[in-house]
Amino acid sequence: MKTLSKVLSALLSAVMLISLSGCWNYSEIDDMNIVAGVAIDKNKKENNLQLTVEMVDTQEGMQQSQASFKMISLSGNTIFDIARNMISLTGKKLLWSHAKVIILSEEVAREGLIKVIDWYSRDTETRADVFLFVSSEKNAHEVLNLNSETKTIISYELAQMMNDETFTSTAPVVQIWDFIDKLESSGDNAIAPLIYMYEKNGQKNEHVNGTAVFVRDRMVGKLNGDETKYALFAKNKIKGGVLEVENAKGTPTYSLEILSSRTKVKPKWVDGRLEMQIHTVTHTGLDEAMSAEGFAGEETIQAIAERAGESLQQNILSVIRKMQREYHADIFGFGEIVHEEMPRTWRKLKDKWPEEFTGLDVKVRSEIIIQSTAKSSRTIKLGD
Amino acid sequence: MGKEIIPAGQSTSIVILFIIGSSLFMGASGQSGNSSWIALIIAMALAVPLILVYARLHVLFPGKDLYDMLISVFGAYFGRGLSCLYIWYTLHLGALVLRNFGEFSKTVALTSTPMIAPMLIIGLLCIWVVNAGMEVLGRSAKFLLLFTLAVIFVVQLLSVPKYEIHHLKPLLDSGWGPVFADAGGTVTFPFAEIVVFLGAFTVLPKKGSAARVLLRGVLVAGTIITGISVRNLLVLGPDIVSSLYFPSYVAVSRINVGDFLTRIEGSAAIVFVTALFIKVSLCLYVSCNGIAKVFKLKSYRSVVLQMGLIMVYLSDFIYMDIMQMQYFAYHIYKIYALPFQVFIPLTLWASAEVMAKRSSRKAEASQQ
Repeated sequence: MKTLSKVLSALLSAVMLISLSGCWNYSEIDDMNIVAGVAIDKNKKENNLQLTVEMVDTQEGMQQSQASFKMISLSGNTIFDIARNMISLTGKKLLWSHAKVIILSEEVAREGLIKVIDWYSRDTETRADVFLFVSSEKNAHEVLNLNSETKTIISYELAQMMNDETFTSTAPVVQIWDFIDKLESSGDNAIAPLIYMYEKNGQKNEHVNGTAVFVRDRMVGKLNGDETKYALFAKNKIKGGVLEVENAKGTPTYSLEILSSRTKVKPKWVDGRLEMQIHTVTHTGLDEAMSAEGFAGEETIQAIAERAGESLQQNILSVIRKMQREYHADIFGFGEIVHEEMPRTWRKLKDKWPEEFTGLDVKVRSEIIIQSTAKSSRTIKLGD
Repeated sequence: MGKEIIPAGQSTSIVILFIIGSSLFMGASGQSGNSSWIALIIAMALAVPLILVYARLHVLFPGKDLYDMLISVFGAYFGRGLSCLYIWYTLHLGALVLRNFGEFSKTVALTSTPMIAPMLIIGLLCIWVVNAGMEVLGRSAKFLLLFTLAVIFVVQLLSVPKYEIHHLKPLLDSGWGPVFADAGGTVTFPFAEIVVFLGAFTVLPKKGSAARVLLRGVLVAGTIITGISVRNLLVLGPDIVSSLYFPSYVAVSRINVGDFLTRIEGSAAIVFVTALFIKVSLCLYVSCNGIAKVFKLKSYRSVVLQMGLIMVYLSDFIYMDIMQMQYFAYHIYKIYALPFQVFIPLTLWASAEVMAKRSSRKAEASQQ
């Protein structure tokens, strides 16, 4: 009896050892294709969607000093169907969890984004922290195709660009979950960065600059890089970047580097009308003075700061006006602020917020503080 | 075989892990959006009187568990009938919790592994620990609690940079109605589920204070759950939280410390498993204990394996899919659980008080 139980337990352990150790659905990395980025276009011929995928090539990557890539493209009716059918082109399953960017063509964006991004946020193979772009070129896959010129993995380059975007602030940084968050919340419209192809001296590069403006999930318009910067000011999303300042005669002379910025938006009732009061405080450093006039007369630091504040004030106001008049898109989240600060008012305004936003009174007050003048205490002096 | 007694610290650990068990996965139920944390606090306050009733039962019947109480108060037949109900409840609850874990692993962690595989592994582990006895369970709970608290605390700290305070505003957006509805639901799931612990009251020292163990457990667990739901709200916002099956998992996946510490949600999920392990084990123990009491077995150990396997199998076919699971957990369970958590214990308590009065009067009479 005792030996029997010993034999049985040994057998049982052997079975457990084989069946419990290791992984159930084990797959090697070289049996997978690592996806770096995705471009989604409209396929006009068949009136469906076209998915282009940039993949990291693992086989050659070991020998060469730079990573290599592969591209494939396929059309179909639903995104997931295409994603799976790609196996019939590559022979390997695609590994989506390392993808960094998703680029949508303008056409797709104008027709509504929900149908193309739902799979990406729902599926468990993908991660929701990929960067979202709208291609201003005709086709989104052209941007990915730039890799044959630049010899780099474009998707990872774009991701890096987004990480460094805080130094320029000419495009919003948007990840997919963030975008969906904006779609779901009322009183806030979504935005996404725009991507262009930039050609100079025969060398093509990708160029991220500007904003695509959405109403619900449809793209309705664009902002250029400068307008984006001022829109980000109104959204309190500025972390860095450069402000140009004119001298007293009106020529751009000074550059201020933004060190930190804070924006406060307050809704207020003024004479029976709702008014948004925006107050920005920006700490900057003077980093460039293209003149030899010294900081005297009309060009004292104080005067420069005041002039910068005034022009910032006007620029922010004009981009808000543009949103109100042209696109009727509350990308600044004013609705949400009203919701948070005045819940009772919001209940009344909620259903007609788009119209309400268009007629909203906005007051902007910008304050610029120049903290430093970098290494030099004065402008370059001209000797005689 | 002597009676197993475990110290108060260990039973408190069991209570804490038991209560946070499935809420760590599922989050608290929510129609109340960004005010769900208020609902949690109210629910915690509402649970306190119930818990005092449970604890009072221990004073009235020192050294007895739920089944002894039911049989001695309601008689051999009716008492056994009620005991059978509790056996079902604990078996079912254990299966539900296992299924939560199964769905979790199927949905986010091990997507191509059949759900039964991880559930069976955990189930076998629970069978093992229950077979080893409550002392082992108590000691492991105490150790696992420290580990769980440490992980939760670290994760909480790491998510601070992702907090967006404006998600909590405006306070009470949808008014008090949904908050109270949620509070009601949250009392039954997870707080008052601790009624299961009545079935293991024999492990408390006879003179020990059940009230202290239960209250401390519920308060600590409530604080943890509130902390976690506030974190989920702050990180994800009420709109996203309501669309997710496992909000905590997604909230943790947002953590990104300097592009270096990322994708830690898989490691954070380990605390779900530890808490769930305690919860399923306690359910299994209590249901086996019930069978032993109803059928007058010498020891509950002879049915642990069978009940455990039944529990695993039940959890496999109890729902068709995850949508059903969510519907049951948030809409049906709060009504289904009421008799087990409120009506039967209250009746038991009331009759026990009457009986105690009578017997003390009798004792007085005999003294005179």
